[in-house]
Amino acid sequence: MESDELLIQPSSAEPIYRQIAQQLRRLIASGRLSPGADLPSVRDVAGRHAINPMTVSRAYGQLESEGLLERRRGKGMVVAALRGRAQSADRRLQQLQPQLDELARQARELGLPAESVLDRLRVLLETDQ
Amino acid sequence: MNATSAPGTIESRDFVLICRNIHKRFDGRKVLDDVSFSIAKGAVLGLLGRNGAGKTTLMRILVGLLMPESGSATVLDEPALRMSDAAKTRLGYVPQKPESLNWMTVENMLQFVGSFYPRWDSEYMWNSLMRWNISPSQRLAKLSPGERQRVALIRVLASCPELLILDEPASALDPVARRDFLREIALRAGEAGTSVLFSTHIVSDLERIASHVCFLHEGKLLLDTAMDDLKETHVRLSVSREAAVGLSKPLPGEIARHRRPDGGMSIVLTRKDLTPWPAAATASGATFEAMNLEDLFIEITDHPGVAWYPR
Amino acid sequence: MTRWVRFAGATINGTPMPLVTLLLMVTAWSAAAEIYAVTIQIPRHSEFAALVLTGLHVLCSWLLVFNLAGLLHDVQELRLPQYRQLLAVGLSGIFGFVFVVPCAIVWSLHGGARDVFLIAMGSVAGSAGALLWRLRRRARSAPAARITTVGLVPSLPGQLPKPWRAVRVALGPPFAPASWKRRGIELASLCAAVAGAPILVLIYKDSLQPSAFPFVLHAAEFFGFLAAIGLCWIWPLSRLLAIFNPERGALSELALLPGLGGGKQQLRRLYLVALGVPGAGLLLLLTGALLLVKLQHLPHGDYVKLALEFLLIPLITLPILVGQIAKPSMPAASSVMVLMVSQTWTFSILVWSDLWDAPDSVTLHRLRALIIGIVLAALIVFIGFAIHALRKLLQRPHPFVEVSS
Repeated sequence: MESDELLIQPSSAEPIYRQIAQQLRRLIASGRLSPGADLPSVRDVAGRHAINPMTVSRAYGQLESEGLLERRRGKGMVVAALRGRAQSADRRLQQLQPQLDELARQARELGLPAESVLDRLRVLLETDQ
Repeated sequence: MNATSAPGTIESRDFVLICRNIHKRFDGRKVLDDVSFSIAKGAVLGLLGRNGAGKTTLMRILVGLLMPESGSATVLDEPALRMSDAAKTRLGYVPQKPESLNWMTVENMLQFVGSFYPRWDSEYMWNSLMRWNISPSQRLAKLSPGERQRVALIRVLASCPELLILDEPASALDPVARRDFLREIALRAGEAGTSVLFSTHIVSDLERIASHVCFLHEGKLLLDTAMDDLKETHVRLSVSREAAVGLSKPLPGEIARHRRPDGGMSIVLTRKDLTPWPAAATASGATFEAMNLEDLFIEITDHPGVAWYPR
Repeated sequence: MTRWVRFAGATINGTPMPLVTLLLMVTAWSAAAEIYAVTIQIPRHSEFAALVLTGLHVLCSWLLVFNLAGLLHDVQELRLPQYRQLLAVGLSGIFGFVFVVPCAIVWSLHGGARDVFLIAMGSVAGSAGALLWRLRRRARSAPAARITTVGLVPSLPGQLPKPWRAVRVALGPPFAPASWKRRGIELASLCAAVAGAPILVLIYKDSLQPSAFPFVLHAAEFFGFLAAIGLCWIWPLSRLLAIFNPERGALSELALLPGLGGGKQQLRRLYLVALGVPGAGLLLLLTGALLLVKLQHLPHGDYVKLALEFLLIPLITLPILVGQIAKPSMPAASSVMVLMVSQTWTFSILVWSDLWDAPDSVTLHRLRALIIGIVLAALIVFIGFAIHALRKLLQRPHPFVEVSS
């Protein structure tokens, strides 16, 4: 993977480390990053996007603690093997927490009842699968 | 990194810069009002403020070029006004309009200055001069402002300091040079552990590389937090005029509020506090918006008559 | 053709300054020539008119050659067609205006060979000066212009440069170490300033009245020395003032450069360097002046007067300098310079007036006592002011701190 593939928007309301973590999670979940694939070094990403290396290592660290990445000696970060990624449903649900919060908040703002939102959500989830 | 931590808990070994209760007046006008903050090793602190907020004055005081009325500044464990030579070799300062030694040529100035620093990196100096296309035998006085600023940055970066204090370092740089400069600063901070304090009004630069941010407004330090915390916890709550009536007291975690032209209220607050909010805040018609740094800054400093509640 | 017309039109319409200057020059020159034509009739005094005319001519030819050289350079940059023709026209124009026409005019006024020769020499001096000035300006922006720091950069890494040399380099010219060539030029200009006027007077010794000659000679020497003192004392001090002017950022570099020592050390070094170089020049001038007095077998009183004069200059200028550094809210450096120079003048007049040589009388005694009293009082005020300013400076943690009002 090249550090160019990450899209970083410093002016967004979302902190940069979260942007990186989210994008990596999606890339891994969608299969674009296969297990064992090399991730660009912290220095590469920081240098390419002119951001603080601590931010990048924070993102990498977070994904490492979630079991999505692992550190290999001499190679830096690589995508963890599928086995190591078996997470409980709870943990995976935890990843969706920010989006669920946002959804709930917007639904409240628009004054929508919970049932209609949940129905629509169910339809969407079932169609994807 | 919060300035409100008690002095007894500050380990001077971990902080490269500590300033406490700085007051400064110019012609009777209060330019700095009880400013206190500190910078830990490896941190990149961005000082954000409007023009005339006192950023340059504060930086000159931190570097020992100006005497504050009261208060103290400690740089690399030494008082700023009486820095020893050893401390000076570990400090790098770039003023807003670098003008010193203008009668020398680029090469001569850099070599002259470089001979004072034990860790001078002349390879970096020559590489940078080549990369940024600056003729080494050109007189400093004849350079354009952008080139002069670049030379000043090369001078300060080639001395490999532990603490960098930069006053609007990118103001005269074009976008490519600015990106280059940010990259350099970010890499040094992350890898060599260089601590950086830089003042700017270009918010996007700050968002890229700063680990901590400070707002300086009319001489007062309004905010002093880590960048990630700031974005994650600060939101703007907008309520309609009717709901505003019920929110006369400050909400838990509130930082600032101001009245909108349509009678409603715009409140900036942090979401860390878990005490429940009054009903008016969560009624329908109340919108929450996540804020980025620019929004936050404008929200806090742009509105006259803003009431703000320092933490 | 239209391109030429447009170019000429643009040059003329651009700024009226060149046209106005040209008109002024021509009228002034004509007036001087007129005066010359009249005074040439009077025996033994025509040399002064010739001198005035030559002086004016040097100035005019310098201005003319300087501007025409600049114009030619611009034309070359513009790459206009028929550049060579224009160059030929320009050069012949210069030659005509500056050399041929004035000599012809003087000859037609029955000036005599010597005066024509003098005018021609004036043209040469003016043109040479103008061309040298242009070349110097161009050389400044050329890559070859450098101030050498050889000897400052240590040959071994890890070895820091000597703080004295560092302070000198940081203060800039004229304090900075410079090549022998540059120092030679500076010395030569100093000698020219001192000796220029007296040598001229000596050349025209014959045309002066025997009684007036010593007076004129002394006056010429006086002015020469005054100019030299201005060059070697007041000008370096004004450079120092410029550095300490808080508007410019020169101070921050000096303040944060490591290796210059702590606060008190820095102050000491700074003052020693800042006053040492001009002070050495002043001492040189003093020795020269004393030698001149001895050569001319002037009365002993003149030695005292000379020493007093040279002592007064630092006494008057230093407090003003120190005061300006200590409290930069005082007016701009240029007006301070004017103040310094004007006060030196006042005291010089007092020292050299005939008051002290005239025969004694009661009123003269009283007048002398009064003057001495006033001067002493003024000096006490100055010295007190200087001490006060120095104390303020010593209170600072380091000399480069900016003090606001």
